[in-house]
Amino acid sequence: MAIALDVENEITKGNDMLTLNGVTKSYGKRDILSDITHEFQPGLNLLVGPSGAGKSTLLRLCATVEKPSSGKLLWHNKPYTNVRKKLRFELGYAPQIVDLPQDVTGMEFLAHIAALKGLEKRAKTQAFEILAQLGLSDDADQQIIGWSGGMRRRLILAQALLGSPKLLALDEPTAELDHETAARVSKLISSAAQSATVILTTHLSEHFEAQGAAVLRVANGTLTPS
Amino acid sequence: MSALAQLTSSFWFDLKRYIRSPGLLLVALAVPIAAHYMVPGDNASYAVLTLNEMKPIRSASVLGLELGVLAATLLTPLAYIFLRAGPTRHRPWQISDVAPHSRIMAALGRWAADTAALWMLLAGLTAAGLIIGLFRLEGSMNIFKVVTALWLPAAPALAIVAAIRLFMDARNFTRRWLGDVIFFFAWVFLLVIGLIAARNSVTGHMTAKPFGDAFGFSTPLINSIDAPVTSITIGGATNTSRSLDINAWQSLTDGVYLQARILWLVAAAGIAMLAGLIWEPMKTRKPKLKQGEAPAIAHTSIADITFKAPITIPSGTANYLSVIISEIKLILKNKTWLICLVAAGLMGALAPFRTVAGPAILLALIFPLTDASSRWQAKSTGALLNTLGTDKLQRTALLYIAAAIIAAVIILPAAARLMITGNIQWLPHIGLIIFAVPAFIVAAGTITRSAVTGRLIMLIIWYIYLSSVSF
Repeated sequence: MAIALDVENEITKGNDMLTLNGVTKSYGKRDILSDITHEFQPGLNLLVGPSGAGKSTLLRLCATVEKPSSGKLLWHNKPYTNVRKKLRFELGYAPQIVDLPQDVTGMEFLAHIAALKGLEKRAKTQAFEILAQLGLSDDADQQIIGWSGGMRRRLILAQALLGSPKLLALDEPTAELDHETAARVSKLISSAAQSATVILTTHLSEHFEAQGAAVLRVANGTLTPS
Repeated sequence: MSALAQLTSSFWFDLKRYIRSPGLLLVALAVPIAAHYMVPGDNASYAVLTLNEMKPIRSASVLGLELGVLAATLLTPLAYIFLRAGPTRHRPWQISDVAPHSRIMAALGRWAADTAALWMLLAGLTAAGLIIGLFRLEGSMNIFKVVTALWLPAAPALAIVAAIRLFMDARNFTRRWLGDVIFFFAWVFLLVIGLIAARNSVTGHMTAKPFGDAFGFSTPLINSIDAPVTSITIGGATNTSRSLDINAWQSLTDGVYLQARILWLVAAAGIAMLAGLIWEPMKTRKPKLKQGEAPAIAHTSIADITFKAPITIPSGTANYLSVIISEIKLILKNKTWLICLVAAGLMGALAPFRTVAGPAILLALIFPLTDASSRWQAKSTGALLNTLGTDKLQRTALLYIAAAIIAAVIILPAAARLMITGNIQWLPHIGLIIFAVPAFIVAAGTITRSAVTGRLIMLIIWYIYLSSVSF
């Protein structure tokens, strides 16, 4: 059932480009990512590679959680250091693990995130619709403490989609989900990718490859088109 | 796995977590600094302890005992906060609660690790005491006496705190705020019981009861002079020029006192084992779905899923008012706290401020505000929120404003009553409750990422506030 909302479905591809320019990320003496130069195109960008290869690290860099040890990230050809504040209003980030506050409901959580994102009141309507699309509407007013791992995973994705994100960094959004729910999630993400640059990691790459995602392999500190 | 292997495994698992955490080092550094100020020189305006309103001459054993008093009074709540909100507060309970191991041995191992961590703090205090002794002793330095006089009262006292903390962690209903409240009252009880039990109500003289002296400082003081002891003041006693030569060493090495200290140590281990015996697996409080609570909106079918971005949402600017309103809603969402706040607020219009309404309002604010102070502080949550438009400093400031608004609204009837009745001398208290209390709670929650520190310290402040006025 489609829900009538005062919204506009932006289907035109944006021109939101994220560029990595010689990016290296090291922890101590260990280089996780080494001298990566790449231009992420608007649409779906799928990161694949073995565990521990640095996919999540790359997402954290893109999502402004961490800074590179050397090199630059550019958003619209402007260095992150110059546009970080503005970018954060255009960013949706879904990490793998978030210790969600246990005593708030799903809707209260999204309402608070919407406030922190600087969204206006009608974001609540959008939140309801995202929850419905992710199959969470029945539990929207339940405290998160009673939610399963898969439900929490979808809630983390929902907060990333709130507003009109132009850059989405999604770390394993389909983990812990059954086949049907994973299909819901991948369809929603693919739809969002029509108006944003989406970078994601997932173990269900075939869902996204079928949607024409650019597949990029992260291994041995490098990023190469697959 | 043998029982001993389970105990040692549990012990090393937790101890390594303590040793690797910067928290232990930070507290270990803070304790000697505190000792520097809490063991004053001769010219200070206060003294750590007085006996019959006279200051004991600071021999090596008296210095050790002074530090022991500090450890038993001030280090014990800090120790509880460190254990409850520190490096080992997150356990892999999903695995350990269903593992086929002895809960008693695991609890004993955890207690031993907690106690070892606290004794490391005590070692820091000991080192500080020895340095302080070089400058502030009134007799010759005797390292053995300083160390013994400090560790005899303090080491079992800290072991008891570790045991109580474990006991509070054993059951679901004490794993949250109620455990902190119970610890607070247990701490006050253990602090004063030695002195209360020692006093003869007829003569007013004190007789040592080492087995009733959990924190172990009243017995060696009472037994240190031949004359009857009528008063002991610990902590912030007023300095006096009158001094007294006491034989603390003799009373510290008395056989009965030593037996009592060992017994308290064994009792602490017993409490830890009891905690293991009554250990309840972690239970998440899954709320029941009430009839009609689910929103009317239905699931969207997969075919209809399309991402729709609202067209009128502006980006690029933070909406501070929305964040404040959201925080206020979250602070007031717990109905129990809300009822307490409203009741305390109404009390302000009806009851005297300093004795009734003020303490009631302060108490009612502590729990919801400390909950709010830690709600978004988990490391992973913070990392996510930092990627949003409102940065951490702004979020902290907005939470503070939300908390201050709630405090102001709750205290408004009391403020109006004070103005009407002309009791304006209490208006600074109103200001402190509106501005300083939320500031302290939000800062404590932000720094420690836990509600425990703010809650326990505020409870102690609340009790001092309540007790510092006569009805």
